[in-house]
Amino acid sequence: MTPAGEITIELNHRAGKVEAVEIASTRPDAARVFVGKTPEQVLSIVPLLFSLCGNAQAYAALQACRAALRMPAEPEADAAREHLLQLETVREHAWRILLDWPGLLDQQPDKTAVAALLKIDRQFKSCLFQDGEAFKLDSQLQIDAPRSQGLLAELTGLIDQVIFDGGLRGFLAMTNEMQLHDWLDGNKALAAQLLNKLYQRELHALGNSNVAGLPNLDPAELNRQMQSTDLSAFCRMPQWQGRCYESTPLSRQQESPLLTDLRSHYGNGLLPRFVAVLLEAAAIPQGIKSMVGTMPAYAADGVGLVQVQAARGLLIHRLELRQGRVYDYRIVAPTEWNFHPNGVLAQGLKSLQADDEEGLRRQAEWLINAVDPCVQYRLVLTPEN
Amino acid sequence: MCLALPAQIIDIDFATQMATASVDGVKVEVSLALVDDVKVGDYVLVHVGYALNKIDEDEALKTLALFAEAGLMAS
Repeated sequence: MTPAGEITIELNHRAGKVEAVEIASTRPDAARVFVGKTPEQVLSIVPLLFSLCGNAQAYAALQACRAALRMPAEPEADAAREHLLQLETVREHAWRILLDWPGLLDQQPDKTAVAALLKIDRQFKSCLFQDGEAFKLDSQLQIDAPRSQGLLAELTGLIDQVIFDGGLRGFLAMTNEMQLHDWLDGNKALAAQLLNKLYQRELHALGNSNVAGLPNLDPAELNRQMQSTDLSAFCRMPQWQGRCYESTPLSRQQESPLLTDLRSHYGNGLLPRFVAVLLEAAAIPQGIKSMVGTMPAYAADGVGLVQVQAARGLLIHRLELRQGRVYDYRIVAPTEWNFHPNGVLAQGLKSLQADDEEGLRRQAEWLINAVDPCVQYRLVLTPEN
Repeated sequence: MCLALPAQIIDIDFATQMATASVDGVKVEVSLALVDDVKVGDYVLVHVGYALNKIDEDEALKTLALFAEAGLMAS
């Protein structure tokens, strides 16, 4: 195992049914490296540690530092930074779709498309900020609108071509499952092939559980709850008001009519999960911004606490400064909500049923990929006697 | 949070675009399909089986030092 750690998911099963689920994590607390550093040093280190979801991590760190330092708001620069966050969400969704979904369809991934996607994505920062430095205390906004719009058009075109086979606009226009069936009929797009496979294999409701989506967390109340509990324990296994919650693309999309219809039939099963990811990948480059938002930062007595929506769900950074240096730094990643031992993945896995162990393994892999395709995990199936 | 670790390439199979890389002394198999012009000795950022991008040695060593400082490295 590498220093990045991993999550071990153990399923105990009998007669094709899951009897028990255990989830254990060795993911490290990397935030401890920030203790003793100045805010400027923290913001230099963040991109080195977190190159995945790097914009979300860097934006959360910047806002937490700014809040703790009681610095004034930067509405225009923050709008540009949130733009970068949304584009990162699109990149994260799209590259996992392009790499993972062909495997679920017994096909080879189109790595050329992934490389093209990453190439476009790398250019956005330098279109919006001087020297491409977007997440420093002294970052300077410098928008190259024509180039930025050109890149957006290129990104949208690529996603439309390689994921939707030219059917992106039609996908975004759907409002109910009936229209989805029509869209899927005879459709050879990667997105359509995967959704069709869910229907064909009757996997559309797989993993449905009654774990609710994480509500908006009041910043002051979140700070109070974090302070009143063991901070390390909260970061490893977060709960809100004593309950587990889901924080994913599906849980944050409350306004999509299509998802509302699908959820009424399949809850938080596989089909609504994959559709939620597709909607974000398709909609964000089109300028629909309501899907990814931020809550106001909390600031008091050298404490800065922020919540940002990263690709996989809610990301929380909380820091405490004393004499200008970090006294305490905590990060709560969406994985810790979703892979909580009693959380949405655990409850979903408990509902699985198959003819044999291999069938259970395949179902579990589908569900894990749908909840968070980015997590390094080890799946162990153990028959119970 | 997910960490992408700097890994040093120690062997490349050009036919399959796969490489063996060393992460803190642990050997991992990585796909080079998403990066260009990688050679033995280079550092790349690795996540879930893929080299995401090439990074220069200074940046890699600085990042590894940070991991060590955080007590995340075995060596």
